[in-house]
Amino acid sequence: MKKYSLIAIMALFTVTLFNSCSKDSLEPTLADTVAVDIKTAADLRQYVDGAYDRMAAYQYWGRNIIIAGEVRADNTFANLNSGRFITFSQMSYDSQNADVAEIMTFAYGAIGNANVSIHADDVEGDQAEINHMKGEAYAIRALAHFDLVRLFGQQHVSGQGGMSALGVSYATSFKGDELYVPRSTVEQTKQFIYDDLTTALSLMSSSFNDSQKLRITTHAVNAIKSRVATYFREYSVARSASEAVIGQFQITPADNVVDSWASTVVSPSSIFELAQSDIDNNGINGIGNIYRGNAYGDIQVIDAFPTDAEFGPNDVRNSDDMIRTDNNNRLRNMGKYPMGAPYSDNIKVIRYEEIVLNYAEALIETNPALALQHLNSIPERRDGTTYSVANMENILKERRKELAFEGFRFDDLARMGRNLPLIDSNIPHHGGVQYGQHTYAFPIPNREVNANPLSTQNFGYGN
Amino acid sequence: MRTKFSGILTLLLAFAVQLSFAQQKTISGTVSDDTGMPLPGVNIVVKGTTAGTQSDFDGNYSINTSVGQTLEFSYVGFETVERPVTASTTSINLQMVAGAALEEVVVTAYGRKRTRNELTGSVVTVGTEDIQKVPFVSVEQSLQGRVAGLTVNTTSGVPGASQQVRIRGIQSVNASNEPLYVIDGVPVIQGNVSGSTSVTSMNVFAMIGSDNIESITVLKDAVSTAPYGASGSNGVIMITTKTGKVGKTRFSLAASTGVINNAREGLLAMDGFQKWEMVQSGLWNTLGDNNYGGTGVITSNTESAIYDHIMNTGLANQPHYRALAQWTNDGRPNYDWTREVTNRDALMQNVDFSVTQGDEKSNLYAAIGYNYTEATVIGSDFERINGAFKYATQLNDKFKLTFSANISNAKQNAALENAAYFSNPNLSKYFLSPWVNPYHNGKPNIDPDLYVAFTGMHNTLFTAVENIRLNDVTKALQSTAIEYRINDKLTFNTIFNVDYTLNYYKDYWSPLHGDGLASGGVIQEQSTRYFNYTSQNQLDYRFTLGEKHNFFVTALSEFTRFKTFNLYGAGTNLANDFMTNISAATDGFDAHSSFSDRTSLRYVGLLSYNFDQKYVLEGSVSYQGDSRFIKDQRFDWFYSAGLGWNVHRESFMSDISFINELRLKAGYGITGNAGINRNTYQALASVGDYNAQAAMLITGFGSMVAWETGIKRDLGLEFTLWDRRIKGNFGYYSNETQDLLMLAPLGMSAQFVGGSAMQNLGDMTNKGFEAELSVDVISTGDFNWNINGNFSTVDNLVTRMPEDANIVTATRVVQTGYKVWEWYLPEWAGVNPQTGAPQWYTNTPILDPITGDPTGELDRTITEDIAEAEQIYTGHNALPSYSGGISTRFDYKGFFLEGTLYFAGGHKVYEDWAGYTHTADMGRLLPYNASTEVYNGTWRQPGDVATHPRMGSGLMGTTASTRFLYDGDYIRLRDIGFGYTFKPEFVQQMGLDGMSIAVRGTNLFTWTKDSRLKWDPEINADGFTNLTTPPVKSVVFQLNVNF
Repeated sequence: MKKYSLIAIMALFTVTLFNSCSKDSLEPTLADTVAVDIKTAADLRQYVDGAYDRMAAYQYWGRNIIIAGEVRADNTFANLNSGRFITFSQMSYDSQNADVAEIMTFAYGAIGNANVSIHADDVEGDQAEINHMKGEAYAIRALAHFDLVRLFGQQHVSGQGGMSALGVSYATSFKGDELYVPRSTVEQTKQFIYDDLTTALSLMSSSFNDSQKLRITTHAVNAIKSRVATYFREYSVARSASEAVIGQFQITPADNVVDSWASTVVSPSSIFELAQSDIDNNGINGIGNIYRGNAYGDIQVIDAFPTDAEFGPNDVRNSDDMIRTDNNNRLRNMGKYPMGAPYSDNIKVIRYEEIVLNYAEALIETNPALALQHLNSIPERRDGTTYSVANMENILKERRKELAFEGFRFDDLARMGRNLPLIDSNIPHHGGVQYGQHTYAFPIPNREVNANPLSTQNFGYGN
Repeated sequence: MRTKFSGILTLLLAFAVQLSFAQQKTISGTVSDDTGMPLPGVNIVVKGTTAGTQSDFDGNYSINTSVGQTLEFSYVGFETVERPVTASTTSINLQMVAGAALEEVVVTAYGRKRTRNELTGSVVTVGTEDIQKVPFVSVEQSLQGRVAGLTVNTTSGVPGASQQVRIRGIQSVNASNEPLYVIDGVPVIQGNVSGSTSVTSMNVFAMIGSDNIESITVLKDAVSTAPYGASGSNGVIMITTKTGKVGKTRFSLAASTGVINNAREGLLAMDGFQKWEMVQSGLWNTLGDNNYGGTGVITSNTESAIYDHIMNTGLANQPHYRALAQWTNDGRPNYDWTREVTNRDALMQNVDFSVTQGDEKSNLYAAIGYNYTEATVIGSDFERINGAFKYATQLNDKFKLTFSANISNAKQNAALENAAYFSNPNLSKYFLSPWVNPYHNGKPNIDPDLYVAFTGMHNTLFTAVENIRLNDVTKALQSTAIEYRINDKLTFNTIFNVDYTLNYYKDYWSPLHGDGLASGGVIQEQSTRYFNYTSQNQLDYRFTLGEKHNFFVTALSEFTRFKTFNLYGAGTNLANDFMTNISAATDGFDAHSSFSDRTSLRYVGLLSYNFDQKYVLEGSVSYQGDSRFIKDQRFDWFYSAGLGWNVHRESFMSDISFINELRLKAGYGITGNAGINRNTYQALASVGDYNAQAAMLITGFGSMVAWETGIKRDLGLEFTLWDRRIKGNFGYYSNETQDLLMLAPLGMSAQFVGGSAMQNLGDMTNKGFEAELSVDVISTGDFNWNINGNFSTVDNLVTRMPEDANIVTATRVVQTGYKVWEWYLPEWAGVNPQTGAPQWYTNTPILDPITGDPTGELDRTITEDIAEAEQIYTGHNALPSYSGGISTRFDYKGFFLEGTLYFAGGHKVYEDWAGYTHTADMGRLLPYNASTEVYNGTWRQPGDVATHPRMGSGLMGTTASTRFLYDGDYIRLRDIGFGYTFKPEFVQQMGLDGMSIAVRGTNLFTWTKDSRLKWDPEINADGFTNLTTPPVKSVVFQLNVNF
């Protein structure tokens, strides 16, 4: 009997000990994640690259924002193959629209990573390199806010005040003192973007520029500024920003146009691309598959597009390699983002050709001859039709041909105050929208309006 | 030996002062029933002690006792007999007399067994017979309709899918609403272990053969659940597995086989002609008649004019019109996709074989089982083998060892069904065009021109069968328990429990068609290991002060660690279309692994006291920590108190002979809920990759969260009347959840892609009544008739929610003053009879013209633009406000007939996917299909009073509104059974001890209040219909043999 009592007491003792030790060991293991913290230059690199990764997501630059710029205009429509982007095509989106919400989510997601990087203090490492990376973060923040303001700002909606209309909430810290900020006006938003780009340039050094151009370089910062200023038609800004880029890159010659899209080597005309690879890509949700995938393939080229765009007879951009009908008789963008599985096409965010056209546009008033020279430098390298005069009409015409399917068309029409024309009443499309309609601005997604007490819904979307 | 029969009726132990130095002697004898048949398994206890034994298979027993003591003989259904032991007693033979039911002994938290007279809580036990009435693989489904206040929602009709059990409503918004599951006293992992969230869930309890379960006890109230502290908020489901029975070796074989079909037919898809008629109508409205915005290019509303227009214009090139042309060329056959994707009369079979053996020292139970159940959808089935073993032995008079192991393996071919996947066979019914031939050259049609071009979809006849979605789950549940009886009053128990679940998941996409086509085939293989161990130490002290002050005190500690390991690999571009391992891949390789853990620790003190079983007091205190919270908020206190008054024990009741028992109870307690994801309290970044280098992505917003607290209050009345032929109870409960763990949405500009962060926000209440009643209407030897039923109500209200934390979606709201997830929708005003346009009420608040304040009135103007219609509070959520069950059973000379009706209602459900199945949009109708509701209900001409708007009127009509919100009330014939138990004389000639046969039907009949609700009314707990396989009905034949 005594023996067993002893055993029992020992057993009691050991199990109690086992338990009481454990109270302190209630700390969970962090195996797959780390607490957000930037200590070294290497850490900083990873958080800035995280911002690029967010940008490359199909919800943002990897697809949706490009499609938003295409399918609402007169180049393409959504053919209902899988039901994707039909509300964009018909411009019938409301504040519950998931694609709209995704663009905003991922743009701000990229901004979050940029803000964490910008506010990293006491980072160990080469200060110049750290500054360069922080400069990239400022530029990412500027570009993402620009993307947001061109989609969500009400500058093109009648009665909203033009540049003093509501722009976007300009987020400058992640989980800072204020979780939310109110929407700035479009003018203020633009100014914040310029400020961030100026800061970026002051921090960056061309010696750290990424030779693959898969990260924002000093040239890309100027190119972004050129794009922003062109959008707002501030041509003196656009001119000087473009000038800083002109001559630094080459326009792709006609013979290389098709290959420049199909190649995995970054083209000499490329200023900034977002990386996609065999193992890290948007897969079936990416841009290529929505243009010509078997199952998705929702974004179809409008039959009248090649005619309306007035391609010359030998223009390489209208060659079969670039645009042709598929075996289901659907006109397809074949040339841009052509790879198919495993969908490793990099996403071309800024190409030199755009900056050349921005520059030409900026010069129309001040130096028409130089403007014409730059305008014609594109069709000359496309076996296309050159122009006799550099006016806005011709600039837009050339932009439509050169930048087709890259997401520029809607903004080019909107910033010039153009209506969206009725193309064909037989296709699922918006059927013509007057400039100034509330649908020129996306609705602010419900989640932002409901959770951010400082936010305001756009005109025309209730509330 | 008092735990030999755990969980079944056994004898109440009274505590009396024990004589010491008594004269030891051994008494033996035989126990028989009133007909002289030996009675095995009779409990024989030395009164006032815990020493005891059971009679063996021939009714023989032998027990050590002392002169002056009293032996108590007890057996279920017989009256207890006491016999004193005198100096001359050497043997006691007796015939027991069938009698009124004994006092039921109830197992409560931590295996503490007490009689109803010693309890103040609300505890319901479902026995093995009821569990086996429902022949589905997930054992929780047997609880539907048997426990007041408990509802079970089926996530999918595919066998093995998870069940959503809710006790007394939902207590939480974003933390778990699932009850705690405890098997043989130890909390276990629960929920879905499926390898993919895209496919059918895999319920970890589908791994446990219901034949190995002795009983399931449901703890609902504060006093009963508070001992589980942090985990008790949503109620506790305690599963007791079978234990060996004393007596000769006995074998039992239970076999059943049957057929399964969808319980309801569901929404029907249009056939090709119906679709064509609707397409004509839509084309006429959009391209013909300019009254409704038509462009006038079609000039005549006739089939031939419209067909010719299509074929002579650019429309002819569009794939869906090419499909029409092909269908027409083929002679317009009837292609019935619903029939093609349905597995009618799906097979189910189950065989369980068990053996039990025992003597007064040790006993064992061992079983093996096999189950094969097909799904009602093609390409899915479930197969399980399981083994159980339990061995208990008295090491000596102080120590008892119990060892048990339950090991099982199940293979579930899941369905790709949790969203609108192209390869979801349930989606195929409504989304695959009836103009497209499912077959081509005798095989599933995957022809690029004749299928892919026409539909843009996958042919699920190919993908559901050729692709693989396999959950291969192995589960081992092992427990070792040592009971040390320190003395008569003090017992120490230690349990070490290991719960190991391994899911090997395989996802294979054929390179020939479907999701794998673009990548040349895809293989993903994954192994997830869930390892959970629990150490529990418990000290029970039962003693009596004076004559009548009875105490039962328990001190307990419990430590649990949950560990989850995951390893994943994938590859693409497969060598061929038949090798399905990653070794066949040549490209697109990917691999990753992950690990997470959770630890919980709890110290519990329990006190039960009663005075002469008249006045009962119970209390509990627990201190619990959970690693899911930040360090300084990790531990919290939980407690409870209960009072009971056994009125029938009062002397003034002794004259009221028809009342056997009358009991009043009240309870109050604080419980908690920690049912949130691991590691949510800190801002976290995960490794992504950018340009083949590591990139940090912020994947956890991080928020300081603490325990969600549940305050529970209960009042109850229990009674048994007229020789216990009427039993029942009524109760009122009020559960208040404070500091709700809310996944508060974040605005996008908060820059967190995850979009929400967990916070403690707001309070919510659930109140209601519960009643249970059982009546033995007729109770003679040959003929017995019992009716029993239960009924409960839930009234839910969000009592506090900060304004900026309100959750407002397109359909639902979480807001102060409304039900949780109350339906919040624009109000449908029907179809305009003149134009066929969809209409809604604007319901804009009318303002007082003078003050400008809302008057509370709403403007009932009708609009055709849903953007002008305000969302309104509907007063309903998806949770039934009442539910219950009614069962009856007749027994006549070995025959029985029984049935259970389950009903629930007072809630509303929303028909999701109506944007397609009820579409009036040509862009959706044309490539896909729609339901016959569209065909039957669509407005066709001015004056039509129609349910469905004009075809071609677009998407707006199916935008979320009350149009698709239906009454959820339903009644279902949950179970009906008819069977016969053969007479012992008859089966003994065959060398058997017993044999019974039965035929059972489950869910054979369903009635819904709202005729628009065509889907099965038992839908996801969130109240949205979805494209998963619907719940099933079955007809099953059962055979049970004992030998």
